[in-house]
Amino acid sequence: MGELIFMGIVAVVALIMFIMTYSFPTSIIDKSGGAALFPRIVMLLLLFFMILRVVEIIRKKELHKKFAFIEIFEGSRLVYILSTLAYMISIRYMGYIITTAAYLIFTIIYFYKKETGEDFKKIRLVLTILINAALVTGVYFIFSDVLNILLPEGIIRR
Amino acid sequence: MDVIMSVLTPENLLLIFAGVVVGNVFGTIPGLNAPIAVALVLPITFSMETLPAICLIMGLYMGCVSGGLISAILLKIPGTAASIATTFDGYPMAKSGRATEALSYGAFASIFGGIFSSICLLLLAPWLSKMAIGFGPWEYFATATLSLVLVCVMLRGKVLKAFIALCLGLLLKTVGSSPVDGVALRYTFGNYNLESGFNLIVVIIGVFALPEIIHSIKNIHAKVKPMPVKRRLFYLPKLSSIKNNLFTMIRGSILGTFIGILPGMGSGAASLISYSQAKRTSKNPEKFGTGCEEGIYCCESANNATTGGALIPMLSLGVPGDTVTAIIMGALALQGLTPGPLFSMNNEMLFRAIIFSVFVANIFMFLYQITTIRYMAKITEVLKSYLYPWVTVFCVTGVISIKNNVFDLLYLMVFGLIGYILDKNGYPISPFILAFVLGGIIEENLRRSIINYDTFLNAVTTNFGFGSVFVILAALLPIIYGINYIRKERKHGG
Repeated sequence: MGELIFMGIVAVVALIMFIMTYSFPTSIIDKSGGAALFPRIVMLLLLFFMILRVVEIIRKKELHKKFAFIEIFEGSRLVYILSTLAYMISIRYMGYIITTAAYLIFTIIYFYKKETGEDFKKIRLVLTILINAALVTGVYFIFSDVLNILLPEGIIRR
Repeated sequence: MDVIMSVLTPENLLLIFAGVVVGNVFGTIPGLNAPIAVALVLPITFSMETLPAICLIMGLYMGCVSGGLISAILLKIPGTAASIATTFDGYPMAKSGRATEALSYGAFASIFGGIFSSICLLLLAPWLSKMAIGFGPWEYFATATLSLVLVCVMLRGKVLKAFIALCLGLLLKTVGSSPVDGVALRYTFGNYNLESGFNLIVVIIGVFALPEIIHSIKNIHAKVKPMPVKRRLFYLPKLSSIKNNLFTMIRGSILGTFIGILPGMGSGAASLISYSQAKRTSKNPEKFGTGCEEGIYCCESANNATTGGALIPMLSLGVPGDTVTAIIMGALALQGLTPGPLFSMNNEMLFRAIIFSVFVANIFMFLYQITTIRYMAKITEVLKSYLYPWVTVFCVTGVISIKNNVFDLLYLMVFGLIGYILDKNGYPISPFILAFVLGGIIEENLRRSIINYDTFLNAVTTNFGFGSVFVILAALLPIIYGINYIRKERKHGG
């Protein structure tokens, strides 16, 4: 059932996108069909293949087959996604070094416990913080000073 | 000679070696693979010159494909899809106390296959380029379309899902300004960040790296125990073993190169087909699956031979043979180069240097593997709680370094979720990503062809050549597959 819902959502989005193609500007001398031609062909093909897939699901009785989606938002996966999203959003304001080091320290501590079933010992914790902070600073300087690639500076402006 | 000297500079050799080392690590760790490794280094190559960037990428590519054999043999977990068949005999051999031998056979077969295919690349790519020199928009459209159809049709058992993934990729590629006229903005919703469409590198990192982490992080507590490896400096296979399996390696390399040329087949399919061929023609087929040498030689030579094979259509036609070559095509585009029929003629030195770098990367990969086998085994024991956060950081660093734009990070996560949903529900990722790479070429050349010939039908009938034949094939292949599928279903039903 999950796959049918997924395809239903995709079909609705595709239909909306199809309708939107009518607002794309087309030059009067362009005989190729303009900017709308290709998206229309693709959307018709997509709808065609999805209809075939729905028929296949019904014929093969795959209606009750589990569809992987909800599991993304459960347990460790949810923690990973939320922490990564927070990291991505805050990188602009806090800068690369601070957010990356904070993200690494938080996720490493959290997933270490999940992986080994043990808490961080004090020495290990201090070493993890120091080593990761140093490595992040190293990566930042390699990118900015050696490779001349800009990374967000945030609150630590040079 | 100039070509050889251009690659044999200390800087380039160091980059190839670094690529091989990092690639081997990525290949060894289950869940990390060549597309992830190559995609992650792409941002670093921005600021590099063309040849050093290519050297780094080729080292990574060769290292990754070969690195998968270590975890396949020691843990029965193929590090990459290319090493699935290696587990069949590699793991039983390791279990019987011959892990060192199994690893050395795999390393030797890898270099054999890699060098064989790089020679094929040297001989075949210029010939194909000359053949394709007369390509117009119609032929480009036809070749790219046929290769996408081939990718889907060859994914047996998943063809319908492959076509859906392909269409989704093509649809997402249409976001941004349209080709040919370039003024029509499509699906941007007034967001200027979307005007140039989704960045290929962000999409690649999103659909390859993040889904693997999201998937694996749930089972982070799962423990693996590797096999003990002998403490020796060099691990070379015995000469008699090489002699006895020479024909197996040659056959595996030919198969691998040919399968590499075909779009979408990939190294996983090559090693499995080579394994079944070797078993079918072997004098002792009953030994397969129990830890026989032939079983390792055949699949490792085949999977490494696909590397050169996949580069042939990319360099000569501008059509990538697999996902990694699609990303490499993106890397060349970043350097202002367009692979295709004119590439080997306009950039002859660079073209030959690329092939020579493949050659050198294979040699480095072999030397590295035979000397570090016992240390490589330790990589499989790296704590995932350190590994996954760092891989995520490299993904974010790679994406943010492209344009220093946080918006790219947001759709990186969206593509990560799309990749997860597709991959974990049996929708293959390769058609999705190849559609993203070739979508622009297909649309632009389709529109140019229609402008040239007035209608699509005129384009097919006027100047009837292999362009039209390819288009007809692209239309017929799914129909033929569909008819065969229905027949089989009816047979099973009856």
